[in-house]
Amino acid sequence: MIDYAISLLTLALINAIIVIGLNVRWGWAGEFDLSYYAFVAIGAYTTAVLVGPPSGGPDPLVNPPDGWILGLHWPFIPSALIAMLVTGSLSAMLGAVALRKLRGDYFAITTVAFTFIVTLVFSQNFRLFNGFLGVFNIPQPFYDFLHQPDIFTYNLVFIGLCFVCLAIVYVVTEWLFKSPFGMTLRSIREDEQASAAYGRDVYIAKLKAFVIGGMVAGLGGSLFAVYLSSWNPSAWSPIEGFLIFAAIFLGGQGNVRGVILGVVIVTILIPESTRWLPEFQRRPDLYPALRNIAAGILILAVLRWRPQGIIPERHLNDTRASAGFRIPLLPQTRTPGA
Amino acid sequence: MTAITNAIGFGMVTAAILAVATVAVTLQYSVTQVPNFAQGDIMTLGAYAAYQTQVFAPNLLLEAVVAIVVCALFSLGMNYSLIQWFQRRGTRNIIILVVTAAVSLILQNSILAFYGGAPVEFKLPATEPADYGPFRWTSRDIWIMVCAVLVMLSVHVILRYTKFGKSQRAVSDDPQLARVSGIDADRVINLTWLWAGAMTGLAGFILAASIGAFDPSFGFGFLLVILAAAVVGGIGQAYGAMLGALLIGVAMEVSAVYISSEYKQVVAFVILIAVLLLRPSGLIAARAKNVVY
Repeated sequence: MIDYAISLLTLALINAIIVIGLNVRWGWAGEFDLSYYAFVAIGAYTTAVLVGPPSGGPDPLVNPPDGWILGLHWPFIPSALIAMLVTGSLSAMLGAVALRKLRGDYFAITTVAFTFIVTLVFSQNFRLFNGFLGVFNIPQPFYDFLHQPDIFTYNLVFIGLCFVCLAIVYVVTEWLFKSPFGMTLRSIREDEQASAAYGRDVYIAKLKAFVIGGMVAGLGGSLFAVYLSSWNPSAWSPIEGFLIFAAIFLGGQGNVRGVILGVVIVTILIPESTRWLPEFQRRPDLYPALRNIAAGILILAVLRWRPQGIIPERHLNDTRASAGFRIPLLPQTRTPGA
Repeated sequence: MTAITNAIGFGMVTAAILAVATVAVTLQYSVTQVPNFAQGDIMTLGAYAAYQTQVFAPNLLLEAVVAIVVCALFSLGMNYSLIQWFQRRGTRNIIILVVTAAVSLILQNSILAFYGGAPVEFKLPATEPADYGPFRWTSRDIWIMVCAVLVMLSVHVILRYTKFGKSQRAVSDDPQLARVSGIDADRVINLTWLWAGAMTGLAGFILAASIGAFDPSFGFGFLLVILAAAVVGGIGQAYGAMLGALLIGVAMEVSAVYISSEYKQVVAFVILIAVLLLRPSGLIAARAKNVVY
C-alpha cells in the first residue's frame, strides 16, 4: 500500500513539472500549442539515449547487442541538463518559425504538424531511438552512486529528486509570474495590440515563454523516462498532450497551484478510479478510451460552467476600488488572413 | 517512368478524396469562422457508420447515404449544442478551437470504446486495375474521382448560382452586415455546418472505400493532410482548396516513390509549414479577404 502511494506521488510530482511548462506556454502566453507533449518526449528520448549503457555487454537485455544507443552511460544530472538544452533549442527553432507571423489557429496547426513529424522520426529511426520498439532498461539515477540500495529506500530517494526538481521549477515560475516579463506575457494574452502599443515586443516575449516551457518539458520528460525506465513512441501522442490541457483548464489557467491540482485530478485520480473496476478481457481499450472521454467532457464542462478553473488566476494589481471590476471579453473581431 | 505515372495516378485518387474533405473544411471555416479540429474524427464517424450499415445491409449506396446523414447531423448538432453557445457568450476563437479539439477527443474515444482499437475491414467488390492512357486505375478509383468531381461541381453551382450560396458568401464576408441586409445568418451558418458535415461524411466513406481497412484514429491522422491542403490553397477559398488538394495528394504519392512511404505525410507537413511561412494567404491570394468563391 505504501509502495502504491509512493508511486502515485512520484507520478504526480513528475506530471506537475510537465504541466507547469505547458502553463507557461498556454496559461501565460495564450498559445494553443499541441506540440507540448512532443517536447516531453524529446526530453525523455535525449536523457534515455545519454544515460544508456554501452551496447554489446554480457546481458543482452541491459546491453542491447546491435548498438542502437550511444552507450555514453552518463550520470542523470548532466543528461537532464542536455535534454533541457535540446528541448529549449528545438522550441526556439519551432517558435521562431511558428510564432513570428502566425495567428492562433494556424499556430496550432503548425504545432500538430511538428508533433507528427517528431513522432515519425522517432518511430522510424532505429539507430539512435530503436524505432517503434522504443528504448528500454534506462538506468535509474544515483542507483550506483548510492551503492545499489533496496527498492524502498531507492524509491524514497527518487521521490526526493522529483520533489527538488518540482520545487526549483515552482519557485522559478512563481518568480517569473510576478516579474515584469510574466506581466508582459499575460498582457499579450489579453490583448496583443494594446501590449504592442505599450512598447512590448510581442514576438520576443512569446518566443521566450515558448523556450521556457520547452525546457521545463525537457526536464519533466527526463524524469519521466528514468522513472518508467522505458520509453516508446506509442507512450505519447497528441492525445496525451490534450490530457495536460484538461488539467490546466480544470485547475485554473495561468495559476501554478491550480494547474498542479488539475494535473493530480486528471492524470492520477481519474485513471486510478477505474483501477478497481472489473477488467473486460475482450475490450482492452475500453477503460483508456473512457478516461479520454471523461477528460474531453471535463474540458467542455469546465469551459462552459467555470472557465476560470478551480483556483482562478490571481490578478496582482487589483486595487480595492477596481477589485470587482472586470472588462468583459469582447467577441473577437475577425482578423483576415494569417 | 511507369512508377512515376502510376504514382501520379494514385495521387490523383488521393487528391480526389482530399478535395472533398478540404472543401468541407474550408467552406465551413470561411462561413462560420470556426477552425474545426473534429473534422477528421467526423470522417472516422462516417467510415464507421458505413461499416455498421454494411454489417446489417451490404449496399454501397445505402452505406454512403448513412455516412453522409450521420455526419451531417453530428456536425449540425455540434454547432447547435456547443459552438453556438460559446460564440454567443463571445468566447475567443482560440477557446472555440479547444472546444472542437475536445469534441475530437470525445468522438475518437467513443468510437474506440465501442468498436475497439483493432482495424475493421470494409468489404468491397474486387476491382481489377486497367490502363487509362498513362495512368493505371481500378474502376473504384474512377468512381471516387467522378464522385469528387460531381461534389466540386455542385459546390460551384451552389456558391455561384443559388440564393443560399450568395447569402453564404455574404455571411463569410461580414456576418453583421449580412444580418443588417436581412439575411438570417444563424440559419445560413447552421446549414453550412450541415452541408460541411455531409461532405465530410462522404469523404470518410470514400476514404474508407479506398483504403479498405481503418481504425478509430485514421481520420485524425488524415486531418493534418486536409489542413495542409486547405492552407496551401488559401484557407477559406473553395477553389483554392481543390488546387491545394491536388498538389498535396500528388506530392505525397510521388514522394513515396523516392523516399520511404512512411514519410509521405511528412512531405505534406513540410509543404504546409513552408506555405505558412512564405505565403500565408495561400498559393492563390484572395481577391478580397475571407472569400468563399
